Amino acid sequence: MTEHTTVTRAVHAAGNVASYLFLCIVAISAFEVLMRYAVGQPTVWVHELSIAFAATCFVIGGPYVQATRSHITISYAYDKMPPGLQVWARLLCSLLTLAFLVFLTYATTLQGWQALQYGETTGTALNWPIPAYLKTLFAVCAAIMTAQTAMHVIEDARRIARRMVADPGR
Amino acid sequence: MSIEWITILMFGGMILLLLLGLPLAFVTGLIGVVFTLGLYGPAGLPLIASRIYTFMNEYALVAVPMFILMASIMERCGVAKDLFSAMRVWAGGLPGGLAIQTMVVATIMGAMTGIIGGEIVLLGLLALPQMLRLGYDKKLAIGTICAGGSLGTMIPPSIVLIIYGLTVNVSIGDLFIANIVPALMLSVVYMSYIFVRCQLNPKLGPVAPAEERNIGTLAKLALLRGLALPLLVISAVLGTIYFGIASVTEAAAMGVVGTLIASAVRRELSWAIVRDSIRQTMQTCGMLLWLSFGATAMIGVYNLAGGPTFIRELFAGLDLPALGIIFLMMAILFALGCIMDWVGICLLTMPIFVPIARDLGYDPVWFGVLFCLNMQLSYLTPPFGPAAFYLKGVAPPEVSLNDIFSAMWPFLILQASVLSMVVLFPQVALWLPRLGG
Repeated sequence: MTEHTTVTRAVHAAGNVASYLFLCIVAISAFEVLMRYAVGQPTVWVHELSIAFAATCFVIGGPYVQATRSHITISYAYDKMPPGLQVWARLLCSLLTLAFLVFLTYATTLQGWQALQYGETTGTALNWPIPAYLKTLFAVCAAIMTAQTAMHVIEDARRIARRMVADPGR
Repeated sequence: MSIEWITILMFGGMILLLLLGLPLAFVTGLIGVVFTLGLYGPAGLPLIASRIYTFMNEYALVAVPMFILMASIMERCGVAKDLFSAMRVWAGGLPGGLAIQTMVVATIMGAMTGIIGGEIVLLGLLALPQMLRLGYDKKLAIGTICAGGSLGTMIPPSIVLIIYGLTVNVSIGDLFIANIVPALMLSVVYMSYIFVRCQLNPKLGPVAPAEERNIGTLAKLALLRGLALPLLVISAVLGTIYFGIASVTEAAAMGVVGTLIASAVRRELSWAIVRDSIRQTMQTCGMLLWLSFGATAMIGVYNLAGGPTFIRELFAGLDLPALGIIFLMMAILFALGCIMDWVGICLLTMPIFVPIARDLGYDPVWFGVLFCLNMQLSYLTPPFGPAAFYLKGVAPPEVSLNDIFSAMWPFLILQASVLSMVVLFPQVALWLPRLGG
């Protein structure tokens, strides 16, 4: 289980650092409003940078939430299942999640690789390489989530194995 | 594969996977991926990635974490508590007065936050024990908190409206303004309901003992002082949007600045509060956005497969009058609301429903108000009624989930009647935005 907690801890640490970007958005937006109304010189960079900061958090938020397996679930039917069935449902869900994330990682890696190769830029006055950065980050986060979920699959399978050892009748 | 079968398989698969307990974000994402592979092969997959990328690059979406952050900070400060105690002393000798005051507090808090979870938790902690202590009818007390706490989605700033505005491309500012009157109407209807029930049967909402009520007017006014700053923040944010001084995102960011200042003036601001608030924002955004990513993938494939045309023809084939179609859509949204959360519903159905409503000659802003009202209902309906779960988490142990759900009915009926009224009289929603220009 150690490999699992290490990844969880790393993802949480990264997410906690990234969460300061929210404060950065507040600061630069306040600066923009100030420049526009008090100084009369609106900036050109606040808009794009806020999107980049927010999107960074959105993307990292995926593995951040997945680390505690707390993506929103409708557990109405799951809660009603007998515990013997619940462990199997859980494993099946982890496998299905894994399937989705493998394909998502494939899709985002293609997208990210292309953007990185051409050094894709925003195409605006600033022309910063924000798309290249974000698309790469998206692929990296999808890959991390895939790894997290692979560990969840192992965890769930072990739980079933433990139940079987404890009570071979099942 | 024909579009009929695609529709049936997608929808059926979605319900099956939801019930299995697969997180919603992965349910919709998986269906999106599987159908892309099945219909267009691996070459279609990058399309999903690029759709999601486009979605997260919307400037208005930046307002979502800003409003969540604002709410998280407010929740951690004593604002709600002060608001509640300030209002409590004004309840006076009116039967059911405390419940009505709770509704007033819920309405004001709705304007400060815009996400429901925190509001219901706070009210459940503050107001529910007080009402139960006075011997209030359990159902009336619970219903008041769940219905009042859900008002946060209706009253601007509302995250539901931001996502709706982004999905169907209408002005979020207009949506905010259009929602003000229906939201206040809902709140007044709730209050009237409590008032009438307690007039008919004062035992439902006993009055507080005299010694608690006999507070001098000056002392009452002093209690109100702590509220001045938070209220100022609300009016600044909404005013900025209403008069078009700043974009919704900028107004939201300025709202965070205002909240920080207000809590600093109240001497409550600490580094721990800021740190916990941004972490909670990270968590909430992670859930909300990945839900949207999944739904974007699924609806993207459905669009490509010709789904919207199919649904439009299906509606047209029903031979219903325009209003009948709107009511049918509301019924579908209501049914979906019982099993899904609002983000999923918004992203999956609105790209299909809103163009149909527009073709019938209806205003998408008005439809947004209807959507929001409908999602109010969905917060309260079992089996997936988030409001009930939030309250259950903080309610005294003798309050069961069954108690909570059975307390909702009168309020659901009130919501449904307000919803019908806005359907029949669109002016209720539309006069305020049209006034502004």
